Amino acid sequence: MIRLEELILKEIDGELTRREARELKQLLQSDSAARVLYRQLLTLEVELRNLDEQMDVSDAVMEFVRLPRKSSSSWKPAPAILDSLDRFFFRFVLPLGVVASFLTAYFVLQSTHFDRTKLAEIEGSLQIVRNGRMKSLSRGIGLQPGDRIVTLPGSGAELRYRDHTVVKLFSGAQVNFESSISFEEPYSKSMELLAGRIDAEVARQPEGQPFVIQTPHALAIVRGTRFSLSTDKQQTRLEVRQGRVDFRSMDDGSTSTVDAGKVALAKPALSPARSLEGLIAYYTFQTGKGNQVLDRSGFGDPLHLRLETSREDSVSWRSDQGIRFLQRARLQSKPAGKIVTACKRSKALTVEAWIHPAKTDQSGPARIVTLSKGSSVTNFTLGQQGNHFVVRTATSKSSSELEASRFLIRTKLTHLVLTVSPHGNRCLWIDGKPMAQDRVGVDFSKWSPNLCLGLADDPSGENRFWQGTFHLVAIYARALSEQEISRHYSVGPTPLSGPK
Amino acid sequence: MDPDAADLSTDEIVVEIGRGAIEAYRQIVVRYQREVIKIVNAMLLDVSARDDVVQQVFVRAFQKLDQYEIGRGFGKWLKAIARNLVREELRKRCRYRGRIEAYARSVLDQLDEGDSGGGTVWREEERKRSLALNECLKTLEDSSAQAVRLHYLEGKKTEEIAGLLGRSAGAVRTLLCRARANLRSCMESKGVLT
Repeated sequence: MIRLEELILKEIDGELTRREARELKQLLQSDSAARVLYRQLLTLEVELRNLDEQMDVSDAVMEFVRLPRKSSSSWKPAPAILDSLDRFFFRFVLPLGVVASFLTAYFVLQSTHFDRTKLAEIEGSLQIVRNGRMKSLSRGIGLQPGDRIVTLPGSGAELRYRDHTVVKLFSGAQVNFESSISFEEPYSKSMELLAGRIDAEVARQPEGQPFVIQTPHALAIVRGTRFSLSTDKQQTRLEVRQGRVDFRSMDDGSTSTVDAGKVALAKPALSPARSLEGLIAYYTFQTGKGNQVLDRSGFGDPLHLRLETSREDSVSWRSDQGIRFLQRARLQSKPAGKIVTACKRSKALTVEAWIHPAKTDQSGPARIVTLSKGSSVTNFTLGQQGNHFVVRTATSKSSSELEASRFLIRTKLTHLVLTVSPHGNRCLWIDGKPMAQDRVGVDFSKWSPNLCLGLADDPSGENRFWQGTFHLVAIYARALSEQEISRHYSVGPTPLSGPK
Repeated sequence: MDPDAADLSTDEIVVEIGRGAIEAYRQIVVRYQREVIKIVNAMLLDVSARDDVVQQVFVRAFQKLDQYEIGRGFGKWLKAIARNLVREELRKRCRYRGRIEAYARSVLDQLDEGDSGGGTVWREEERKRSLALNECLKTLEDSSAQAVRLHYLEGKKTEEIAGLLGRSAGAVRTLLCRARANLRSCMESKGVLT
């Protein structure tokens, strides 16, 4: 291979030294044949890169597209030109005066109010979702608890706390600032890392009050150190650069101390026997306490569940994984857009639940797992009517019910699976066996995108509550096969236990 | 019943998005991402930045969707966004300045020609190059073909390929360089590289 060819190929691969770069530049400037060769090799490189037909950015793009936008249901025309002094005064001068007054009051308050964590540096484009609305970001903006920061591709940001703790967000990182986390002990600061990578230099925290960062797989409990934390669907990775960090698994709660120079990994709590393909929501109820159940699927925007109840004694957490609903209460998500989108695309669904009914006779139907809002708007409902399990799904007419009349409910651990195939076949499986099926034709196009996922009651609060225990709930955007259902039944709600 | 976005023209999808059906934007991404990837591949040879830039193109297009005029050709509008974004990216990278002057300008000229009516000739040349490349790939030795497939189709880095092939990283770099040199000669002999 000639020297020129070698230099050009090294430049394509980004491996040229400065000396070689100067050499290449001289060759290209002095020799037209060299320029022809250069162009040919670059053209070839482009053709080779275009061989990759598999690249698909649609999922990543849609994550950002779904962030709440400013109200723009119809684009407004440009404002009319003002041609009267009265309009000028009332449209400009008066509002400017009001705004100036508010700004003055705001900055006075700022100087005397408690400190805010500031967005110190921004590179590229960032978005923030505050109180459900999107807001533009600028350097120096103060953050509020509950803010969700999204760094767009190619962008980055730095958060600076008053105690000189600095958290750097890399391209694609998404964090919830000071959101509620699954950590029952006192803490000074919190953050939920939903995706991507952060690097942090954490100042020494008050004794007994660490900085806690939660990912889908682990908690990083930091008392004063430098580290890098990244998360994706497969795992969370912690690399400690200085000091030490306690790393707690969200799976089994075990904690390890990671010293400087060491790396620790946490992976999702999924049995190797469990099918992963098409899994879009997954709850294992292993937190054991608190009022939040995490979505462990690693698919899309996490659809965590929040406990909605007016009485503390309405639920009881079980030590062997599970939550028991004793009185009226429910677990509810935010609008389950990712479930609706995935199932509309695939035109298929599986809803799986390991449950233990508290009563053989419940009515409503009592909602076990439901994506609905009252009786009139139903995407799907898996419920109990009397002593039978029933299913409701949206069809071309309204909704249609399928009942497993051959199976009488008992107060024991039960494996329930609803499958809907792309051909419109519905099947309700109980303890690994098909107990009811029909071909009613589920109409996914009628699915409402704004419904919330509910467990143990309808999200509308219409009093359709179900009493019993949840051990595991999984939702797929495809119909599991008979073999998969049989395998899931034999594995049980945890990797090491079988059906009881 | 909401219309299926796959059955709508791009302009119709844009109208639906304006009415709040933002999920329909996925159809636009799926329709145009190959063309955007080709533009980014042609102008930006830093593979590590390519995925980010391609995503940025669609995110920016969505943010500016209210500026798109129905009927003016969404593909052309989107490609302009892509070219501007890549130019912004190139401006950040000092070491590519030479390529901007020497080569990228000629590529941009060809892409512009492709959009403004000289497109038929350009697309025919592109098609012939693609066919020739596929034929030339078959002439490579097994180890070279394997290295090319692992690098370009599976996105594997040199070190990963070295592990898979049981060779050193340096040997893999040499293998890839020789493979590309051979492919260039083969394609030149077929008259598709001028």
